[in-house]
Amino acid sequence: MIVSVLYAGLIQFSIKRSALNLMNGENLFIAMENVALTGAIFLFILKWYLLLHRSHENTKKIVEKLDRQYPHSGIDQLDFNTEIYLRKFKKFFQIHFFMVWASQMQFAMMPVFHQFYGLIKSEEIEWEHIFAINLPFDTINTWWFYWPNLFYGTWLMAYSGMTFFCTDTLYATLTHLITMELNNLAQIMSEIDWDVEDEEAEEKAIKELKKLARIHQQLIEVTEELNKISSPLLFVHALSCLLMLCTVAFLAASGEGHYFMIKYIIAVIFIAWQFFVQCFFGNKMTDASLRVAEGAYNSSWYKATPKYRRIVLQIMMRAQKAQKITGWKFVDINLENFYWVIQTAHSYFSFLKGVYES
Amino acid sequence: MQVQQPKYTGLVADLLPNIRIMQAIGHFIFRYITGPILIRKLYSSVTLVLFLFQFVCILINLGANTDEVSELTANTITALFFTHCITKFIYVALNAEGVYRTMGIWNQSNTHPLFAESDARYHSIALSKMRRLLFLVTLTTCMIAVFWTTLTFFGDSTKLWKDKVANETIVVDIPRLMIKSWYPWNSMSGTFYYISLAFQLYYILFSMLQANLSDVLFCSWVLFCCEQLQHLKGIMRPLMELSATLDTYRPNSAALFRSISAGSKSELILNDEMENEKNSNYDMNISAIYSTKADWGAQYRAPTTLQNFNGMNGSNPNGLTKKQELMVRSAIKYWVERHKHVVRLVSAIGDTYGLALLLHMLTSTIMLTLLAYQATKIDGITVFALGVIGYLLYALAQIFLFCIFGNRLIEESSSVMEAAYSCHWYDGSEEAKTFVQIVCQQCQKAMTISGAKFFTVSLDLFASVLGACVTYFMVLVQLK
Repeated sequence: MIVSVLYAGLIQFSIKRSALNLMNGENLFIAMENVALTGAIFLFILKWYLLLHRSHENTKKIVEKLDRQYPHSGIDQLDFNTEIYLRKFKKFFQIHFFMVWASQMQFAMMPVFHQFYGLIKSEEIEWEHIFAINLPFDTINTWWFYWPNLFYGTWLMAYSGMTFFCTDTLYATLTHLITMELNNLAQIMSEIDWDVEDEEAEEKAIKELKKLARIHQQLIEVTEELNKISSPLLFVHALSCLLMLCTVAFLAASGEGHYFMIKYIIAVIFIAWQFFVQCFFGNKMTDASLRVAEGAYNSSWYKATPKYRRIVLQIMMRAQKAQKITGWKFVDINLENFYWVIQTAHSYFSFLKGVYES
Repeated sequence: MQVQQPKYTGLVADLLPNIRIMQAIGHFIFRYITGPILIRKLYSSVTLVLFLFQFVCILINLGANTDEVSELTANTITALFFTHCITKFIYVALNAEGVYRTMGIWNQSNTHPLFAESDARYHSIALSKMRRLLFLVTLTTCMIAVFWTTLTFFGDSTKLWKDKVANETIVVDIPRLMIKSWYPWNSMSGTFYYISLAFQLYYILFSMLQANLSDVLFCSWVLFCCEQLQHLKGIMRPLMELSATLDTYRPNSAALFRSISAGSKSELILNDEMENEKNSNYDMNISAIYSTKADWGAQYRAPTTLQNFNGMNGSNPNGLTKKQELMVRSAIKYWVERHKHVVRLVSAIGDTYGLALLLHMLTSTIMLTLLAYQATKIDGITVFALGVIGYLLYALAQIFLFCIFGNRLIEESSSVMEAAYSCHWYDGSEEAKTFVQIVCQQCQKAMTISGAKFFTVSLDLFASVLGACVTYFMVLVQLK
């Protein structure tokens, strides 16, 4: 961990050096790469520390609360829904696993692959660094620096890949479970129905609705807890995603040779995918919380006396305020903001390209 | 042997002209027909092959002319323009089940004798608007195709070519066709030229019609939902009055059970404020506002012990028979179920067509950026200028079409709350008041169509697209 911080410091030093010659085209390239890297390392450190170390207690609390929810009600439709949710989630898990490892490893093994490529094409290709480093001495031909650097870079990519995978999956699992519970709640509510002739049926329905309202309250508390632990992290994630997207896209567009372009394009896809995962699950949760209001509306309230109707009204009033995950209140984590991040990154990227070409 | 024409009901019957035209120009919609499906499948597949062939030719031409920047930009714009059409074609083909499902949601709807007239009226309004929309869009598309063809015959049919050897730009002749495209045959002159011309005319007309008609289908669905919401708003007031009769004395209850049409101006709960204003100074008669007849009526809330309604439903002060009371309750059920039905239809529309709108917006954004760049090179009324302006107006009009309908849906669905509030809920029973409360709460959240959750279709979207385009254009003009 500490070594990673030191390594980050080394790269920062390179940035300072590059920044001195910013207007020179070649160093802009290296500077941008270092900026991208700073963003990535910062994100990695923050995720590792915040989510895995400091929020240990809170995460346990959330999991306990979710555990105590109404037992899977024995209603066949709901159990079936739960099965589907879990199956979809497993698919996501597999895709996410593949994306993380594929992109991190291809980035790390790029120098090695490039050498193989050179062997096939029988060209002489110079060994290059994984992360561009600009130090006062020749970094490539000094073997006592180059080889440890290469190995450490590979290890760092693997470790950070693992961290990203674990933290993203943790966040996604929690959010997904909350979504599932909210959807089930909405479904149970909308199925409340009774025969008008039956005298006691309405009393029973009122009791059931009160129980469901209590469950709704608990789920809202759980969302607030989740928000507390992941909010600062998501804010930093959004900003660093923006920064990294525009710099790495710039590197992809103005790099020399098709080989580097592939490396950076895969990196862009991975960065966008990471943030997409957060936004996707956050959006799903927001939609599910709004669906509870629809579930209350779909119950047979028009058959009932005002006593029942007022409970429905209260539930609807609270449920219509969507439960959002926010990044420190600056930015909501939903797909609209993902689109915004992509658009803004695209405009910064065009600007950078314009500056580079002039 | 006479095959009986099946009777279509609901949304399918309303949209039948649209569906027929879509089937005629080659969309992959194979339901709602009588006769052999195989020929239609063959026709659609052949259309798909021809369109893909022409599209690939355009792309080959794009690839072959990448050296010269202005040629590259122009060819990219053409390629993106026809990407819309191919995307919509393939999207409808892949998502035909979604289209059938959305149509099927409104196969039949609930009815209520008291509100049948209002239902029929709004239904016919929706029908006429849909027909008019279809006619206008088809006419405009055909006119655009004709305009494009005419424009081809003005100006020079040349292109710029970067001669690598001499390292300069020279002007090279190309065939006088609507779209700059590569063909495996030589289309400069002779029979091949006329074949290419006819093929391009067919391609332009049919692919534009395909893209626009699937957008018209989406807009017709949204239009239908808006008119249904209008119907619900219209029957809100009579429904409130009906609901109030259940446990509050109303002097004119019998009149309520005539077939209530939404346009009736009959105020069964008299509005005494207006009479007082007409008579004298408003200030003097403020006290009169608070003593409407309905208040007097409320004081006559009959306790069951004192009043005798000939042994009928004793707790009802208006003497409603059991049948009439059932009718009132079923009217409330009708309203709520109809509203839920509309919500289901709107969410189905969003699921079916949302992704197509997202793809449309992505392609349009790139195309508009390039068009803004081309527009900075206009220097007079030339063929080039007319072409660029034509592309620009067409792209913006397409986006405007679905944005305006999406916006109307949002406005209609949030105005239901205002309609609920504006009826005399304060004179109604507890049941009536809680009914209004729940309806107001539900309708505060407007029904929106979202492009696969990434954006909502409304005029805000159109404004942001237009704003971005203009900003980009201004920046480019400054840089020159």
